[in-house]
Amino acid sequence: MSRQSIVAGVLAGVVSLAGAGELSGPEIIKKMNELMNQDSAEAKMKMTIQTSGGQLRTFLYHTYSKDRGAKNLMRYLKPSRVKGDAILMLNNADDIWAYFRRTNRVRKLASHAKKRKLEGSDFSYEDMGSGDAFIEDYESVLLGEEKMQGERCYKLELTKKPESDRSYSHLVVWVAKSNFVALVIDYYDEDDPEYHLKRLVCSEVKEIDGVPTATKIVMHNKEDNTQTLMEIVEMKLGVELPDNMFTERGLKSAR
Amino acid sequence: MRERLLIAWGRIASRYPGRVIIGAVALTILAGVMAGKLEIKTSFADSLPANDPMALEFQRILDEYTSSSNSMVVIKGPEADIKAFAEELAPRIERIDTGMWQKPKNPLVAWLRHKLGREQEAPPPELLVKRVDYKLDMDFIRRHALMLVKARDLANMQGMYKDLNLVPLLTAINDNFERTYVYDEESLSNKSKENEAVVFLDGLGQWLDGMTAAIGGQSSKADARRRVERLLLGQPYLISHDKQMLLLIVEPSFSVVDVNKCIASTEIIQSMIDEAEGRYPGVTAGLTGTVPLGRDEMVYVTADMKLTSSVGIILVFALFALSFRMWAAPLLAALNLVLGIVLTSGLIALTLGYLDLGTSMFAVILLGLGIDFSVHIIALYNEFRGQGAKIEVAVTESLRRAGAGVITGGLTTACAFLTLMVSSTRSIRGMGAVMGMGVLCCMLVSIMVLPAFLVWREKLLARRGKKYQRPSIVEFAFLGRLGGEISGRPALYLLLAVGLTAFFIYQASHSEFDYNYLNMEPKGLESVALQHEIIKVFDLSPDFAMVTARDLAEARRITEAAKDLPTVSMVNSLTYYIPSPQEQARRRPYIKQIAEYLSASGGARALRQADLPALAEQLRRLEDNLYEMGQMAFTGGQDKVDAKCQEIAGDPEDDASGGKLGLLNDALVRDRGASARGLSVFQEHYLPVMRQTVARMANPVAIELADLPERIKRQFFNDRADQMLITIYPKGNVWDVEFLKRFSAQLKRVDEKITGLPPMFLNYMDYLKEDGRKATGLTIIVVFLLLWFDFRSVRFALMAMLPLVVGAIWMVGIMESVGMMFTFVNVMGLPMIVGIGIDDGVHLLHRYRIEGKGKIRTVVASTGRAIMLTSVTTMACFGALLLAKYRGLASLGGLLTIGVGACFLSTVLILPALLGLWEKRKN
Repeated sequence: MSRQSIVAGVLAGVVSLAGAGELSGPEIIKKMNELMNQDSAEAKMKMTIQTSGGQLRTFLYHTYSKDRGAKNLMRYLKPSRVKGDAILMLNNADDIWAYFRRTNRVRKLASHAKKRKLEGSDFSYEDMGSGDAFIEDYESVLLGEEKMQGERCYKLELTKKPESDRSYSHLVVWVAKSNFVALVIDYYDEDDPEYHLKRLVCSEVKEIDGVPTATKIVMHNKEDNTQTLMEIVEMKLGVELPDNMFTERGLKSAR
Repeated sequence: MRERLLIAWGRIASRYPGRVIIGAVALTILAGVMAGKLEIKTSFADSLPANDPMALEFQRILDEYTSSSNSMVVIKGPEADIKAFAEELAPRIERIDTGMWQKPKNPLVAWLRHKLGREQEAPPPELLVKRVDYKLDMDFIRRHALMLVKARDLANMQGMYKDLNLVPLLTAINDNFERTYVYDEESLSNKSKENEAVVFLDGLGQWLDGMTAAIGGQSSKADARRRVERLLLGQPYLISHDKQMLLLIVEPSFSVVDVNKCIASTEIIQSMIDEAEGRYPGVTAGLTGTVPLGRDEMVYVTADMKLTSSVGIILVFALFALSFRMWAAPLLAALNLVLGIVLTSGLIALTLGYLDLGTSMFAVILLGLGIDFSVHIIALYNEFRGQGAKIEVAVTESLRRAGAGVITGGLTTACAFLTLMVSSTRSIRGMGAVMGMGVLCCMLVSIMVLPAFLVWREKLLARRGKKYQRPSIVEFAFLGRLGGEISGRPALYLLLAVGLTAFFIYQASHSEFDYNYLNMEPKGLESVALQHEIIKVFDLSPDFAMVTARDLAEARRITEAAKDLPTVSMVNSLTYYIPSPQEQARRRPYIKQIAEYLSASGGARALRQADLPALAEQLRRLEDNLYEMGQMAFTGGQDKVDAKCQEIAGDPEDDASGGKLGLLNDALVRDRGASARGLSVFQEHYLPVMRQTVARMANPVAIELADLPERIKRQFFNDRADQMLITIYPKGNVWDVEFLKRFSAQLKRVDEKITGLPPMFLNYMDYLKEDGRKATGLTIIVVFLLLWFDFRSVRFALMAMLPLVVGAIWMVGIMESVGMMFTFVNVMGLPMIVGIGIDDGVHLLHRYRIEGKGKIRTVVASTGRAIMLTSVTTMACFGALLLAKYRGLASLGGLLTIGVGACFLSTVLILPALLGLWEKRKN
């Protein structure tokens, strides 16, 4: 799921609801995924994490996404200490770089960092930049319908395909019937499928560029008993973003 | 039949009181002798079901390893002082023995022994401490340090040893830094790796301080040696990152179930701490850990028991004296109760053979429960005597009228307890059996012996020529009026009861459970406060989990899996000292390479002024690296790493703050000549030491089990040396159940055999829930059947149970209204409430059936007075528990007091109204 996908499990679009009742699991996930992975997006976001000392720390940053979430760039705006620092994720977070404004250096992070936490949050890099993972890496089955967050939802189970290297054995996803926004996603451990690792909850759905978008996203980490709150402050969809922005050079140049 | 038996016994007791009393006393002495064999089991493992695998494993570990419990000395103050304090204290603690502790003696027992010439000889002293851990075995580490480093890290660091002069060394450190920390985010990905980073940064900071001092002309070989060790080997002490707190972990030679030794060792160590504190004015120290907590709990509970039972007895005595206007009544009731309690003890010895932590306070609880039977009998006896009835008539009539209620009440209460025996947990089963037997014994003694005591007292008075004085009966006339009023307008009062119940149901729906076990401990307890402090400062809870491994391979698998868990702070395992043969083989070439680099590296070269720009460039690079590391730690929320980076490279948000590097750069710029000279001297001092230290560390010979020092082996192996213990320290408070659930769930995924107090406690709660469900269902069925059999009427059986159900709802509602929560201790009171609460309705209905229709007012006036008195005395006994400092006991007292009061009120409100309604309908 790309940042914008989380941002808008968010990004639900113009979806025909005709015949929705007869949709299969893969069809629902396809529709959800289409909405989640917009071609390009630009947003200003706020993220609140819990530090190891138990303090809450809030970051404001700009985020840019292209090629249906395969390329992502996030540049910090606040607090002042990290202003201008940036993270670039390419190939669905397989390749990650960090840029530090004061030293003007770019550092490549280890490739296995993708399964690690993103910037102290409860999101992993993988959660933030997984493109079409819902379709390519998981088999989906419709379990039924259930009310979630006050909305009628499709309840689906997504099981990891044997060849996939994703970090979760399976996901349980609740997709709003009205607009195909993923409202809740439960993540289960890779080695112990019974073990519930995290829950993503999307709420406060608003129209952004004509698209219903969840502007508040909370990831609850059941293992650490922490949670990360992401809020969309501003967002534009379908923006023109040059390719060179998603390069090491682009990382260094402030936009 | 029952009535005939009661009347017959009444006649026997009034005609032959002396024989009855002598028989009862003889039986009591016999029971007392048997009770002397009672064993006390205090292990928590004894509370779980006997076949619980976790409890069995825990017991096995307790038997085979004493390291399953500990004391922790927490020392706070300036770094140098706390280290000196620890160095002085640790060897003294290792030598403490039982001979250094004087167990407080019961003065009466001591006097008797002295008089009989049977003074006890002191047993030979036993060592109380097996080991004190407060710093690493540096000798072993010095000899094998590089073999304990991962191959990847060795590959990264080998360049450091090509040339040990300052500029190339710093260049290599920078290269290593960038490879290890900046490029590889995984380096900070869990708690232990974060801690490793902090330790390395700490050594680096010390090294940079050494350079600054050297520029100022302050350098010595000894100082250089210290800094080399800190850079290469880290800190040997168990010290906090800010170096203001140091831990001494004391492993006892006994297990935590040995209460006397827990108390002895804690008090001896505390006295040593107090004495040492006098010599170190800036240092404060205290004790925590399983042993001191066990001792504190025992000391406080014992003191609380003494206080609350004394207050309870005084209150009951006063209430009796006030209600019956006679001193003899409470004395006879107390005597009766003593017989009941001693008989119960004998029966327990004969059947169970032991008491545990929960059942050991059965006597105090019986004080509250058993007194009720006497109240009913004495109240009626006095009533009849007051009306001028002869002794025999008064005895037989009081037994006839109160006896049925006492028997049914006693049987229902006993059954409520005995049904707990279906529980799987041994502690609950034991409590059910002990309390059930206790209630039955007290009931039987009240029926059979108390009448004899009453008669005997009157005969004694007559023999002394004292004229019988009719007791002035306190009527509580308002109760009769209340009964009349309620039964006269039943609909109104039933509506009131429904309204109250609805309100309390609403309140009860908000009631909460306090899952934090530490909230049961007395407020302000140092051992608890220190435990919280350790969690905060070290991210480590002293309450650990344990698992054993049969071989090193299994130990490695468990250790590696456990240390990566998000809820784990530290894993203590032998495998840290002995990597796998494959891993050692992978490391060996790097170690050999380092040794070769080291032998090829030259000696110290004087640092010239011309070399300073290159040095400054490396320091700038180091600053960049530390800045980037700090930024990643800041966005990653790793506060300790961020703080260390700021300590060295300065606060990124404050240009004036340059940290240790800022000071060094200032010194370099200030006087280039002095810088070159000072740093050259520094090189001369540290280089040979560093070469020698690394040469020792770069030992390519494989580490075998036999190479490990005995001290390390003893820490991990059992006595047979065929299994090793791994201890896993959580990073949060395990008495916070939400954390405990995550910790236990994660540990279960590591190994099924994991045990320890934290996971066992969670298991215990699951068993309690299951037992609670089973026992409650069964109790309701059994009590209903018993009442049905007793009243021969479903209607009366249901009527008797209704006040209990309503009273229980009111109790929970009132608890919520006054801000009380359910706790692990007070939930034990719930079955007692079932047993006690049912009594009021049973007595009232029995009397009503004896008195007949239209007598509600009389019933409420007479039996109402008795049940009010029993409720008030029971509430006084349990209410006294509210004075307990041990908050668990206070919470139990609160629940029981509210519960008994609520059941009494619901009985006097609902039953007269129901009976009134019933009579009106019949009319």
